[in-house]
Amino acid sequence: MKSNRVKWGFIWIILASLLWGFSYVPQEAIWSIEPLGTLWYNGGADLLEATIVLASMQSLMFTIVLFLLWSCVNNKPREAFRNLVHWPISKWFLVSAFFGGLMAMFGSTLATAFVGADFAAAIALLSSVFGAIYARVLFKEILTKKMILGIIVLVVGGILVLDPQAMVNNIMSPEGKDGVWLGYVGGILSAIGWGIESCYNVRGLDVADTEATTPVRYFWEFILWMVIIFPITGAIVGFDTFYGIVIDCFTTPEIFGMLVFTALSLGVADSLLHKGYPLMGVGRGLAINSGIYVPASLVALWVFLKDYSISLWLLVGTVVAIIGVFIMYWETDEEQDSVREIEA
Amino acid sequence: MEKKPTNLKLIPTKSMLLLLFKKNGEMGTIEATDKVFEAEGMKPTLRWKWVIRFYMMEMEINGMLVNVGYDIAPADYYGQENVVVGRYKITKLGIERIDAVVTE
Repeated sequence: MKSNRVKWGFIWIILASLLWGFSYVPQEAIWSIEPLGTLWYNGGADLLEATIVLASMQSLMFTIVLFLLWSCVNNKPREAFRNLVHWPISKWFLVSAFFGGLMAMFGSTLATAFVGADFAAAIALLSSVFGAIYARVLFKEILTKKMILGIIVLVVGGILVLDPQAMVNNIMSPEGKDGVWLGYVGGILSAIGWGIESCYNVRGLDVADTEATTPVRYFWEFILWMVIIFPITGAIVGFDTFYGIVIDCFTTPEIFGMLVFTALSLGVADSLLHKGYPLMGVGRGLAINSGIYVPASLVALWVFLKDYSISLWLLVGTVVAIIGVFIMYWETDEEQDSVREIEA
Repeated sequence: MEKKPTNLKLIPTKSMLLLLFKKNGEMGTIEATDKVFEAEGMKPTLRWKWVIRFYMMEMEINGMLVNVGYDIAPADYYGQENVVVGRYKITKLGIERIDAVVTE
Protein backbone atom coordinates (compact mmCIF):
# COMPACT_ATOMS: atom_id res chain seq x y z
CA MET A 1 0.00 0.00 0.00
CA LYS A 2 2.85 2.36 0.93
CA SER A 3 4.75 1.79 -2.32
CA ASN A 4 1.48 2.19 -4.24
CA ARG A 5 0.75 5.63 -2.76
CA VAL A 6 4.35 6.77 -3.38
CA LYS A 7 4.06 5.55 -6.99
CA TRP A 8 0.75 7.37 -7.55
CA GLY A 9 2.01 10.49 -5.81
CA PHE A 10 4.98 10.58 -8.21
CA ILE A 11 2.74 9.90 -11.23
CA TRP A 12 0.39 12.80 -10.36
CA ILE A 13 3.25 15.22 -9.68
CA ILE A 14 5.25 14.30 -12.81
CA LEU A 15 2.15 14.58 -15.04
CA ALA A 16 1.45 17.95 -13.39
CA SER A 17 5.01 19.14 -14.04
CA LEU A 18 4.86 18.19 -17.74
CA LEU A 19 1.51 19.99 -18.19
CA TRP A 20 2.86 22.95 -16.19
CA GLY A 21 5.84 23.11 -18.56
CA PHE A 22 3.59 22.99 -21.62
CA SER A 23 1.41 25.79 -20.20
CA TYR A 24 4.12 28.35 -21.01
CA VAL A 25 3.19 27.94 -24.71
CA PRO A 26 -0.37 29.37 -24.41
CA GLN A 27 0.85 31.78 -21.70
CA GLU A 28 3.40 33.23 -24.14
CA ALA A 29 1.18 33.03 -27.23
CA ILE A 30 -1.62 35.00 -25.54
CA TRP A 31 0.55 38.14 -25.60
CA SER A 32 0.25 38.22 -29.40
CA ILE A 33 -3.53 38.78 -29.17
CA GLU A 34 -4.72 42.42 -29.24
CA PRO A 35 -5.04 44.50 -27.07
CA LEU A 36 -2.49 42.50 -25.04
CA GLY A 37 0.09 42.69 -27.85
CA THR A 38 0.18 46.50 -27.80
CA LEU A 39 0.27 46.66 -23.99
CA TRP A 40 3.19 44.20 -23.96
CA TYR A 41 5.03 46.31 -26.55
CA ASN A 42 4.46 49.51 -24.51
CA GLY A 43 5.93 47.86 -21.40
CA GLY A 44 6.09 49.59 -17.99
CA ALA A 45 2.77 50.50 -16.37
CA ASP A 46 0.75 49.27 -19.40
CA LEU A 47 2.37 45.85 -19.10
CA LEU A 48 1.73 45.71 -15.36
CA GLU A 49 -1.94 46.65 -15.81
CA ALA A 50 -2.34 44.08 -18.61
CA THR A 51 -0.78 41.41 -16.38
CA ILE A 52 -3.25 42.19 -13.59
CA VAL A 53 -6.23 42.01 -15.97
CA LEU A 54 -4.94 38.79 -17.55
CA ALA A 55 -4.36 37.17 -14.15
CA SER A 56 -7.96 37.93 -13.15
CA MET A 57 -9.31 36.55 -16.46
CA GLN A 58 -7.17 33.47 -16.01
CA SER A 59 -8.55 32.81 -12.52
CA LEU A 60 -12.12 33.21 -13.83
CA MET A 61 -11.48 30.79 -16.70
CA PHE A 62 -9.75 28.29 -14.39
CA THR A 63 -12.77 28.39 -12.04
CA ILE A 64 -15.18 27.58 -14.88
CA VAL A 65 -13.06 24.99 -16.75
CA LEU A 66 -11.88 23.16 -13.62
CA PHE A 67 -15.38 23.07 -12.15
CA LEU A 68 -16.79 21.55 -15.35
CA LEU A 69 -13.84 19.35 -16.29
CA TRP A 70 -12.55 18.31 -12.89
CA SER A 71 -15.36 18.51 -10.34
CA CYS A 72 -18.38 17.71 -12.56
CA VAL A 73 -16.69 14.99 -14.63
CA ASN A 74 -15.57 13.34 -11.37
CA ASN A 75 -19.17 13.58 -10.14
CA LYS A 76 -18.34 16.06 -7.38
CA PRO A 77 -20.14 19.34 -8.15
CA ARG A 78 -21.95 19.10 -4.79
CA GLU A 79 -18.60 18.65 -3.02
CA ALA A 80 -17.22 21.78 -4.76
CA PHE A 81 -20.28 23.77 -3.68
CA ARG A 82 -19.90 22.57 -0.06
CA ASN A 83 -16.19 23.47 -0.06
CA LEU A 84 -17.05 26.97 -1.23
CA VAL A 85 -19.91 27.74 1.14
CA HIS A 86 -18.61 26.08 4.33
CA TRP A 87 -16.38 28.84 5.70
CA PRO A 88 -14.14 26.73 8.01
CA ILE A 89 -12.97 24.94 4.82
CA SER A 90 -13.36 27.69 2.23
CA LYS A 91 -11.17 30.11 4.23
CA TRP A 92 -8.05 27.97 3.62
CA PHE A 93 -8.51 28.34 -0.14
CA LEU A 94 -9.01 32.10 0.25
CA VAL A 95 -5.69 32.30 2.15
CA SER A 96 -4.10 30.08 -0.49
CA ALA A 97 -5.44 32.34 -3.26
CA PHE A 98 -3.95 35.37 -1.51
CA PHE A 99 -0.45 33.86 -1.26
CA GLY A 100 -0.47 32.12 -4.64
CA GLY A 101 -2.53 34.55 -6.66
CA LEU A 102 -1.67 37.98 -5.33
CA MET A 103 1.67 37.68 -3.52
CA ALA A 104 3.42 35.13 -5.79
CA MET A 105 1.91 36.24 -9.08
CA PHE A 106 2.48 39.93 -8.42
CA GLY A 107 6.00 39.26 -7.09
CA SER A 108 6.85 37.24 -10.17
CA THR A 109 5.56 40.05 -12.40
CA LEU A 110 7.79 42.56 -10.61
CA ALA A 111 10.78 40.19 -10.95
CA THR A 112 10.12 39.72 -14.67
CA ALA A 113 9.60 43.41 -15.34
CA PHE A 114 12.58 44.77 -13.36
CA VAL A 115 15.19 41.99 -13.53
CA GLY A 116 14.18 39.47 -16.19
CA ALA A 117 12.13 36.32 -16.84
CA ASP A 118 15.16 34.06 -16.30
CA PHE A 119 15.70 35.45 -12.79
CA ALA A 120 11.94 35.18 -12.07
CA ALA A 121 11.90 31.51 -13.10
CA ALA A 122 15.12 30.69 -11.20
CA ILE A 123 14.01 32.29 -7.95
CA ALA A 124 10.64 30.46 -8.19
CA LEU A 125 12.58 27.21 -7.80
CA LEU A 126 13.19 28.26 -4.21
CA SER A 127 9.45 27.88 -3.55
CA SER A 128 10.17 24.19 -2.92
CA VAL A 129 12.59 25.15 -0.14
CA PHE A 130 10.16 27.65 1.43
CA GLY A 131 7.31 25.12 1.00
CA ALA A 132 9.29 22.34 2.69
CA ILE A 133 10.30 24.59 5.61
CA TYR A 134 6.78 26.00 6.06
CA ALA A 135 5.24 22.50 5.86
CA ARG A 136 7.71 21.37 8.52
CA VAL A 137 6.53 24.22 10.80
CA LEU A 138 2.80 24.07 9.97
CA PHE A 139 2.24 20.30 9.68
CA LYS A 140 5.39 18.85 11.30
CA GLU A 141 6.04 17.19 7.92
CA ILE A 142 8.84 14.65 8.16
CA LEU A 143 12.01 15.57 6.23
CA THR A 144 14.26 12.54 5.79
CA LYS A 145 17.95 12.93 4.86
CA LYS A 146 17.24 11.62 1.35
CA MET A 147 14.41 14.11 0.88
CA ILE A 148 16.64 17.03 1.94
CA LEU A 149 19.41 15.81 -0.38
CA GLY A 150 16.90 15.31 -3.22
CA ILE A 151 15.48 18.83 -2.77
CA ILE A 152 19.01 20.33 -2.87
CA VAL A 153 19.95 18.35 -6.01
CA LEU A 154 16.67 19.31 -7.72
CA VAL A 155 17.13 23.02 -6.98
CA VAL A 156 20.74 22.90 -8.25
CA GLY A 157 19.49 21.15 -11.42
CA GLY A 158 16.79 23.75 -11.95
CA ILE A 159 19.28 26.61 -11.57
CA LEU A 160 21.71 24.98 -14.04
CA VAL A 161 18.87 24.69 -16.57
CA LEU A 162 18.48 28.46 -16.44
CA ASP A 163 22.12 29.11 -17.43
CA PRO A 164 23.47 30.96 -14.35
CA GLN A 165 26.33 32.60 -16.29
CA ALA A 166 23.97 34.36 -18.70
CA MET A 167 21.72 35.28 -15.78
CA VAL A 168 24.57 36.89 -13.79
CA ASN A 169 25.70 38.82 -16.91
CA ASN A 170 22.14 40.07 -17.35
CA ILE A 171 21.79 41.14 -13.70
CA MET A 172 25.20 42.90 -13.64
CA SER A 173 24.59 44.75 -16.90
CA PRO A 174 24.97 48.58 -16.50
CA GLU A 175 21.94 48.95 -18.78
CA GLY A 176 19.75 47.55 -16.00
CA LYS A 177 16.47 49.29 -15.10
CA ASP A 178 16.06 51.82 -12.27
CA GLY A 179 14.52 50.37 -9.11
CA VAL A 180 15.96 46.94 -9.81
CA TRP A 181 15.71 46.13 -6.09
CA LEU A 182 11.92 45.93 -6.58
CA GLY A 183 12.55 42.99 -8.89
CA TYR A 184 14.61 41.16 -6.27
CA VAL A 185 11.98 41.79 -3.58
CA GLY A 186 9.32 40.59 -6.04
CA GLY A 187 11.30 37.42 -6.79
CA ILE A 188 11.59 36.56 -3.11
CA LEU A 189 7.87 37.31 -2.62
CA SER A 190 7.00 34.89 -5.43
CA ALA A 191 9.13 32.06 -3.97
CA ILE A 192 7.66 32.56 -0.48
CA GLY A 193 4.12 33.01 -1.86
CA TRP A 194 4.09 29.80 -3.91
CA GLY A 195 5.66 27.79 -1.08
CA ILE A 196 3.11 29.00 1.47
CA GLU A 197 0.19 28.67 -0.97
CA SER A 198 0.82 24.94 -1.33
CA CYS A 199 0.83 24.50 2.46
CA TYR A 200 -2.53 26.24 2.94
CA ASN A 201 -4.00 24.23 0.04
CA VAL A 202 -2.98 21.07 1.85
CA ARG A 203 -4.48 22.41 5.10
CA GLY A 204 -7.83 22.67 3.27
CA LEU A 205 -7.32 19.29 1.58
CA ASP A 206 -7.03 17.61 5.00
CA VAL A 207 -10.83 17.81 5.24
CA ALA A 208 -11.93 18.25 1.61
CA ASP A 209 -11.74 16.33 -1.68
CA THR A 210 -8.84 17.18 -4.00
CA GLU A 211 -11.12 17.00 -7.04
CA ALA A 212 -13.51 19.62 -5.68
CA THR A 213 -11.19 22.26 -4.24
CA THR A 214 -9.14 23.72 -7.12
CA PRO A 215 -12.11 25.65 -8.61
CA VAL A 216 -12.77 27.08 -5.12
CA ARG A 217 -9.18 28.33 -4.83
CA TYR A 218 -9.41 30.05 -8.24
CA PHE A 219 -12.86 31.46 -7.48
CA TRP A 220 -11.40 33.22 -4.42
CA GLU A 221 -8.44 34.44 -6.46
CA PHE A 222 -10.84 36.01 -9.01
CA ILE A 223 -12.75 37.74 -6.19
CA LEU A 224 -9.47 39.07 -4.70
CA TRP A 225 -8.39 40.56 -8.05
CA MET A 226 -11.81 42.15 -8.63
CA VAL A 227 -12.46 43.44 -5.11
CA ILE A 228 -8.96 44.47 -3.95
CA ILE A 229 -6.48 44.83 -6.81
CA PHE A 230 -8.74 46.31 -9.52
CA PRO A 231 -9.93 49.29 -7.39
CA ILE A 232 -6.38 49.94 -6.06
CA THR A 233 -4.89 49.84 -9.58
CA GLY A 234 -7.72 52.03 -10.89
CA ALA A 235 -7.09 54.58 -8.13
CA ILE A 236 -3.35 54.69 -8.94
CA VAL A 237 -3.39 54.82 -12.75
CA GLY A 238 -6.84 56.35 -13.26
CA PHE A 239 -10.16 54.49 -13.37
CA ASP A 240 -10.91 55.40 -17.00
CA THR A 241 -7.53 54.13 -18.23
CA PHE A 242 -7.53 50.92 -16.21
CA TYR A 243 -11.18 49.95 -16.68
CA GLY A 244 -10.78 50.75 -20.39
CA ILE A 245 -8.16 47.97 -20.56
CA VAL A 246 -10.39 45.70 -18.46
CA ILE A 247 -13.34 46.16 -20.83
CA ASP A 248 -11.13 45.73 -23.94
CA CYS A 249 -9.71 42.47 -22.62
CA PHE A 250 -12.95 41.02 -21.20
CA THR A 251 -14.73 41.65 -24.54
CA THR A 252 -12.09 39.88 -26.64
CA PRO A 253 -13.23 36.25 -27.16
CA GLU A 254 -9.80 35.20 -28.55
CA ILE A 255 -8.24 35.87 -25.14
CA PHE A 256 -10.77 33.58 -23.43
CA GLY A 257 -10.18 31.02 -26.20
CA MET A 258 -6.44 30.96 -25.49
CA LEU A 259 -7.14 30.84 -21.75
CA VAL A 260 -8.99 27.54 -22.28
CA PHE A 261 -5.63 26.04 -23.35
CA THR A 262 -3.96 27.57 -20.29
CA ALA A 263 -6.70 26.09 -18.08
CA LEU A 264 -6.28 22.68 -19.73
CA SER A 265 -2.52 22.76 -19.06
CA LEU A 266 -1.71 24.95 -16.03
CA GLY A 267 -5.13 24.54 -14.39
CA VAL A 268 -5.16 20.76 -14.74
CA ALA A 269 -1.51 20.71 -13.59
CA ASP A 270 -2.50 22.56 -10.43
CA SER A 271 -5.33 20.09 -9.83
CA LEU A 272 -2.94 17.15 -10.28
CA LEU A 273 -0.50 18.75 -7.84
CA HIS A 274 -3.35 18.91 -5.33
CA LYS A 275 -3.87 15.16 -5.82
CA GLY A 276 -0.17 14.52 -5.32
CA TYR A 277 0.48 16.65 -2.22
CA PRO A 278 -1.63 14.59 0.23
CA LEU A 279 0.21 11.45 -0.95
CA MET A 280 3.76 12.83 -0.95
CA GLY A 281 3.84 15.87 1.32
CA VAL A 282 4.22 19.49 0.23
CA GLY A 283 8.04 19.70 0.36
CA ARG A 284 8.67 16.69 -1.83
CA GLY A 285 5.81 17.47 -4.23
CA LEU A 286 6.95 21.06 -4.81
CA ALA A 287 10.59 20.06 -5.29
CA ILE A 288 9.78 17.44 -7.93
CA ASN A 289 7.47 19.84 -9.73
CA SER A 290 10.10 22.62 -9.80
CA GLY A 291 12.81 20.26 -11.01
CA ILE A 292 10.75 19.02 -13.94
CA TYR A 293 8.62 21.94 -15.09
CA VAL A 294 11.60 24.17 -15.93
CA PRO A 295 13.20 21.83 -18.54
CA ALA A 296 9.70 20.78 -19.72
CA SER A 297 8.76 24.41 -20.35
CA LEU A 298 11.97 25.14 -22.26
CA VAL A 299 11.48 22.08 -24.48
CA ALA A 300 7.77 22.94 -25.04
CA LEU A 301 8.60 26.54 -25.98
CA TRP A 302 11.38 25.31 -28.30
CA VAL A 303 9.06 22.83 -30.02
CA PHE A 304 6.00 25.09 -30.40
CA LEU A 305 7.19 28.70 -30.45
CA LYS A 306 10.87 29.57 -30.34
CA ASP A 307 13.73 28.99 -32.64
CA TYR A 308 16.59 28.59 -30.16
CA SER A 309 19.06 25.77 -29.72
CA ILE A 310 19.01 23.44 -26.71
CA SER A 311 22.02 24.47 -24.60
CA LEU A 312 24.47 22.28 -22.70
CA TRP A 313 23.19 23.92 -19.48
CA LEU A 314 19.69 22.60 -20.22
CA LEU A 315 20.93 19.04 -20.75
CA VAL A 316 23.20 19.03 -17.67
CA GLY A 317 20.54 20.69 -15.47
CA THR A 318 17.85 18.24 -16.61
CA VAL A 319 20.07 15.24 -15.82
CA VAL A 320 20.86 16.67 -12.35
CA ALA A 321 17.15 17.37 -11.68
CA ILE A 322 16.19 13.82 -12.72
CA ILE A 323 18.88 12.42 -10.39
CA GLY A 324 17.26 14.48 -7.60
CA VAL A 325 13.85 12.91 -8.37
CA PHE A 326 15.36 9.40 -8.18
CA ILE A 327 17.08 10.20 -4.86
CA MET A 328 13.69 11.13 -3.41
CA TYR A 329 11.85 8.22 -4.98
CA TRP A 330 14.22 5.60 -3.59
CA GLU A 331 13.84 6.36 0.05
CA THR A 332 11.84 3.26 0.95
CA ASP A 333 14.07 2.42 3.93
CA GLU A 334 12.99 5.61 5.65
CA GLU A 335 9.42 5.63 4.35
CA GLN A 336 6.83 6.23 7.10
CA ASP A 337 3.10 5.46 7.30
CA SER A 338 2.50 9.20 7.59
CA VAL A 339 4.33 12.14 5.99
CA ARG A 340 3.77 14.03 9.27
CA GLU A 341 4.85 13.45 12.86
CA ILE A 342 1.74 12.21 14.65
CA GLU A 343 0.43 11.92 18.18
CA ALA A 344 -1.99 8.99 18.59
CA MET B 1 -21.30 33.79 22.51
CA GLU B 2 -22.17 30.17 21.82
CA LYS B 3 -21.57 29.00 18.26
CA LYS B 4 -24.48 27.66 16.20
CA PRO B 5 -24.24 23.92 15.45
CA THR B 6 -22.93 23.20 11.94
CA ASN B 7 -25.45 22.21 9.28
CA LEU B 8 -23.99 18.78 8.42
CA LYS B 9 -25.49 18.94 4.92
CA LEU B 10 -22.88 21.62 4.15
CA ILE B 11 -19.77 19.67 5.14
CA PRO B 12 -17.89 17.70 2.46
CA THR B 13 -18.00 13.90 2.44
CA LYS B 14 -14.35 13.70 3.56
CA SER B 15 -15.16 15.79 6.65
CA MET B 16 -18.21 13.61 7.34
CA LEU B 17 -15.94 10.55 7.28
CA LEU B 18 -13.61 12.14 9.82
CA LEU B 19 -16.59 13.15 11.98
CA LEU B 20 -17.80 9.52 11.97
CA PHE B 21 -14.35 8.37 13.09
CA LYS B 22 -14.51 10.90 15.93
CA LYS B 23 -17.88 9.50 17.03
CA ASN B 24 -17.04 5.81 16.58
CA GLY B 25 -13.31 5.72 17.39
CA GLU B 26 -11.90 2.72 15.53
CA MET B 27 -13.56 1.48 12.32
CA GLY B 28 -12.80 -0.81 9.41
CA THR B 29 -12.90 0.57 5.86
CA ILE B 30 -16.17 -1.19 4.94
CA GLU B 31 -17.95 -0.16 8.14
CA ALA B 32 -16.81 3.46 7.74
CA THR B 33 -17.84 3.54 4.06
CA ASP B 34 -21.32 2.20 4.81
CA LYS B 35 -21.74 4.72 7.63
CA VAL B 36 -20.82 7.57 5.27
CA PHE B 37 -23.42 6.39 2.72
CA GLU B 38 -26.03 6.27 5.47
CA ALA B 39 -25.13 9.68 6.94
CA GLU B 40 -25.00 11.37 3.52
CA GLY B 41 -28.05 9.54 2.10
CA MET B 42 -25.88 8.51 -0.86
CA LYS B 43 -26.35 5.63 -3.28
CA PRO B 44 -23.51 3.15 -2.57
CA THR B 45 -21.87 3.27 -6.00
CA LEU B 46 -18.65 1.42 -6.73
CA ARG B 47 -16.90 4.70 -7.57
CA TRP B 48 -17.75 6.31 -4.22
CA LYS B 49 -16.67 3.15 -2.35
CA TRP B 50 -13.19 3.55 -3.88
CA VAL B 51 -13.21 7.33 -3.29
CA ILE B 52 -14.03 6.91 0.42
CA ARG B 53 -11.38 4.18 0.77
CA PHE B 54 -8.88 6.58 -0.82
CA TYR B 55 -9.92 9.34 1.65
CA MET B 56 -8.95 7.03 4.52
CA MET B 57 -5.55 6.33 2.94
CA GLU B 58 -4.96 10.09 2.48
CA MET B 59 -5.95 10.75 6.09
CA GLU B 60 -3.56 8.05 7.29
CA ILE B 61 -0.70 9.55 5.26
CA ASN B 62 -1.49 12.99 6.69
CA GLY B 63 -1.60 11.79 10.28
CA MET B 64 -5.34 12.15 10.98
CA LEU B 65 -5.98 8.41 11.11
CA VAL B 66 -3.65 5.65 12.19
CA ASN B 67 -3.75 2.12 10.79
CA VAL B 68 -4.49 -0.55 13.39
CA GLY B 69 -4.84 -3.60 11.13
CA TYR B 70 -6.15 -5.03 7.87
CA ASP B 71 -9.23 -6.94 6.67
CA ILE B 72 -10.23 -8.57 3.39
CA ALA B 73 -13.27 -6.89 1.82
CA PRO B 74 -16.30 -9.09 0.99
CA ALA B 75 -15.92 -10.42 -2.58
CA ASP B 76 -18.79 -8.38 -4.04
CA TYR B 77 -18.01 -5.10 -2.27
CA TYR B 78 -15.45 -3.59 -4.67
CA GLY B 79 -16.37 -5.72 -7.70
CA GLN B 80 -13.16 -7.75 -7.31
CA GLU B 81 -11.87 -10.38 -4.90
CA ASN B 82 -9.22 -10.21 -2.18
CA VAL B 83 -9.15 -6.43 -1.78
CA VAL B 84 -7.11 -5.66 1.37
CA VAL B 85 -8.61 -2.80 3.37
CA GLY B 86 -7.33 -1.05 6.48
CA ARG B 87 -8.77 -0.61 9.96
CA TYR B 88 -8.19 2.88 11.34
CA LYS B 89 -8.35 4.89 14.53
CA ILE B 90 -8.61 8.69 14.72
CA THR B 91 -5.58 10.60 16.05
CA LYS B 92 -5.32 13.80 18.10
CA LEU B 93 -4.65 15.71 14.88
CA GLY B 94 -7.76 14.17 13.28
CA ILE B 95 -9.90 15.33 16.20
CA GLU B 96 -8.37 18.83 16.00
CA ARG B 97 -9.11 19.00 12.26
CA ILE B 98 -12.77 17.93 12.52
CA ASP B 99 -13.37 20.16 15.55
CA ALA B 100 -12.24 23.11 13.40
CA VAL B 101 -14.81 22.19 10.73
CA VAL B 102 -17.84 21.07 12.75
CA THR B 103 -19.48 22.68 15.79
CA GLU B 104 -21.81 20.22 17.53
